[in-house]
Amino acid sequence: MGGPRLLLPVLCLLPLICIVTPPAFARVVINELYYDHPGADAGYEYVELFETAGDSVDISGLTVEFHNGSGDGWTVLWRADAAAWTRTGGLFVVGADAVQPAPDAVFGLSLQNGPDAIRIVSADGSVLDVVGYGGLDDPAYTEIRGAPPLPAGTALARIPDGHDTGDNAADFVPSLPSPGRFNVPRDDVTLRLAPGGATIAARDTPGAETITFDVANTGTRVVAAGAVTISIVDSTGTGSARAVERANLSSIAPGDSERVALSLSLERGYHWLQARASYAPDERAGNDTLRLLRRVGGIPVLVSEVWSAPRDGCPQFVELYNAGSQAVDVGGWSLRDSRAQPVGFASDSLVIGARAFLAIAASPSALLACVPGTPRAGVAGVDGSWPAFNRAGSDAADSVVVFDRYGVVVDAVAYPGLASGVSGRSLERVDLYAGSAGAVWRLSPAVAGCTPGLPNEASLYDKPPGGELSLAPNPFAPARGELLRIAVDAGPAVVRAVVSVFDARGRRVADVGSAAAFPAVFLWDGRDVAGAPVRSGIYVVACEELLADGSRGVVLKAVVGCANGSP
Amino acid sequence: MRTVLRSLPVLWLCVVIVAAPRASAQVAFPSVEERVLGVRGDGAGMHGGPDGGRARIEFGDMELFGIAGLRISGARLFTAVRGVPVGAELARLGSPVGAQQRACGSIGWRGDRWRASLRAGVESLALRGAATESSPVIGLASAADVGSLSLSADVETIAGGGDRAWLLALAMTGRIGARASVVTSLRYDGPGALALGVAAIAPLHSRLSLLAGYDDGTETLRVAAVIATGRWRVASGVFRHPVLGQSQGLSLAGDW
Repeated sequence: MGGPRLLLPVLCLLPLICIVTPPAFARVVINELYYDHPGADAGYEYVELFETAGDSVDISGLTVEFHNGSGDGWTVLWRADAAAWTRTGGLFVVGADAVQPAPDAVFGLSLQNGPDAIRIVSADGSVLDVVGYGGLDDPAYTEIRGAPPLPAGTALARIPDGHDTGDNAADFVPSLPSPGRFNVPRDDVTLRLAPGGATIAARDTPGAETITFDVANTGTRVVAAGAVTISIVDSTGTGSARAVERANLSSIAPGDSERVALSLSLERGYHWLQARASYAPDERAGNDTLRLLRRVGGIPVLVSEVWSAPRDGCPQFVELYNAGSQAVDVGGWSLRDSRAQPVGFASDSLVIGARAFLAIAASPSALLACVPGTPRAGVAGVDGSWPAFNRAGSDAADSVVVFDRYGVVVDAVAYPGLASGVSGRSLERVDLYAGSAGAVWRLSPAVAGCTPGLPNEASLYDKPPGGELSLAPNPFAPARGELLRIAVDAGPAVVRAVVSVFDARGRRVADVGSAAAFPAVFLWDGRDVAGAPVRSGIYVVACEELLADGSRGVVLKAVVGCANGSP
Repeated sequence: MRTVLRSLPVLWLCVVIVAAPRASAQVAFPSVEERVLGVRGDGAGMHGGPDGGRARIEFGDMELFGIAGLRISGARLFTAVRGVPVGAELARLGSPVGAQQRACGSIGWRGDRWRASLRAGVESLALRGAATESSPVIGLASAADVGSLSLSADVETIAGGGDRAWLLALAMTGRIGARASVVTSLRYDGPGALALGVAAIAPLHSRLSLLAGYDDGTETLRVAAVIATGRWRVASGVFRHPVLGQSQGLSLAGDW
């Protein structure tokens, strides 16, 4: 009977015992250590303590002790006073006065960069945790192995917080300093562009643009539905405005993400877009914001000629053509090949007049000397290393990408490789109005081998009116090496266009080619399906349009005269 | 022996077919009937030559494929001088980029069952902004009646540019019943350009005939109506090309 008589009073007193007894911490560890600040360390060093249960506990009497790797024993650096409690969440920072945010206990630790060690000891003398760092691997002053070395400006951090296997090398990783904040935040979202999204992009026409983001939960707690607001602020040269915003639709588990699409209307001009994921309890700034750039409205400047395989002693050049009716300032622009970093144009203020050409070369003076007749105003240099474009040979195909002053692509073209042994002749672009897709190139027939700063020998300048074929030159003389350039601009419903040539009786003479992107340019060399030159005469060029539903659209027709030396 | 002689033109044509090097783009007189049937008729074909009168004059005009400015027109005359058939032909293919023209004269022979004509002339091309190119043309047409069949052959060559182009056409016409006819034709324009054609003539009335044909070289369906009134013969035809669209023509022939 004595047992039950005692049990009841004990049960009744148990809550009281729990209240009056100071909460003994489950386990306090060194959670983060920052000892090597770039430059002088004084004022920036800190030790972050963490109560692994995440509670606010009394750590009065706890000491932070230092071991100098060149000696023996421990030196007490700091002792917690009677009012020292870990914060809610379990963190407590001892650090110098320059640490931000301000430490819980401001104290200059004067740590060395190692090999040394730090330990914490409870008021009753129990060693709670030991960290050897800076190359210290003495088991007497580490937990099996010391923590890995790290560069200046980096902290040693347990990831996840409180992770402790008894091996410093396994428990600590170099990390960005985060005094007073969890190494793995509880509440954190990261905003990313969805795969395929572009940070910098251009579009030709104003209108709605949809940008898709992934809102990732990079914390350790669930993000509730509606807790994150994703917004885009559109800044233009005339001001800023919050364009659109919306909240996440569903809760996001740690490690998961939600795809969010925002649409905004973009007018002509440059738009600096700041996308932001706003989450009230977010613990980590810096991963919530994306900066995007959009250019609406194409710049009518095209890559018109590439001299990738110049004569010996002559420099390569890339020629630009302004197809617009207004002069274009290309100051601050840059170009690159398929691999190199962009190199800027030499002049900050460089203007290409309407329907004018400008050759960019590594050495303008050398180009002027190599190609007599080149206008001095039609050549400019670069400010940096020339992106050596592939010359003739089996792997000579390359590309030219031109950027505006903000790094937005103006034109990007791929040019074909020249046959081995071919040098001294440039590649001229035939379609001096078309977009980058489907550029048509041919070897320059110019006597000098190229035409820097001057109109190309044989190019089609004007974009064909919609629904028409544009033929040039017409008539043409294949016997003199001329090619018939057939330009087609099909409507948006057209998925493919097939171009053929018929004689006046209606017999199909030549299959010129097909295209799926428009405007498109085709070249006809005046030969029939068997490869033989057709007789001089009057022929009909027909473009059959195929629509997305498989039906046939209109047939564009035009008459061409072919002077082949034999009517 | 006569059979062998009649076969010689055909044998010669076969030799030329094998040797023909290159396609051509000639200007042909825009006779609606000839274009539907696929056979020439200038003194050697089914309707050629002044049968009963002293002369035949023909005019033709065709709009091609609905393309503005692209049309072919022409005139030709056949008569007999001291019993020898002779003719002259002018044809012009006009277009926005220039014109191609042909002028030919012909002389023929006529027998009971065999006809032939030899033509010669010049074809010229005047393209906008380019010098005029000219080339001589020479052609031979012949036809023979064998029972209810008519066999015809036409070969033409154009010199120029250091090369020579050939056009070959063979046709066989079979009469069905009293008045209907079926025409099969073979046309060779060069390597890889062999075309077969078939056509029919269906008299609906003593003055009205319908003609229909198909040519797989151009994949063109051809339909025409021919009205014969006294000395005049009027033909109106429509030609449907699968890519280039529709052409239409009108030709007029008169006998005196």
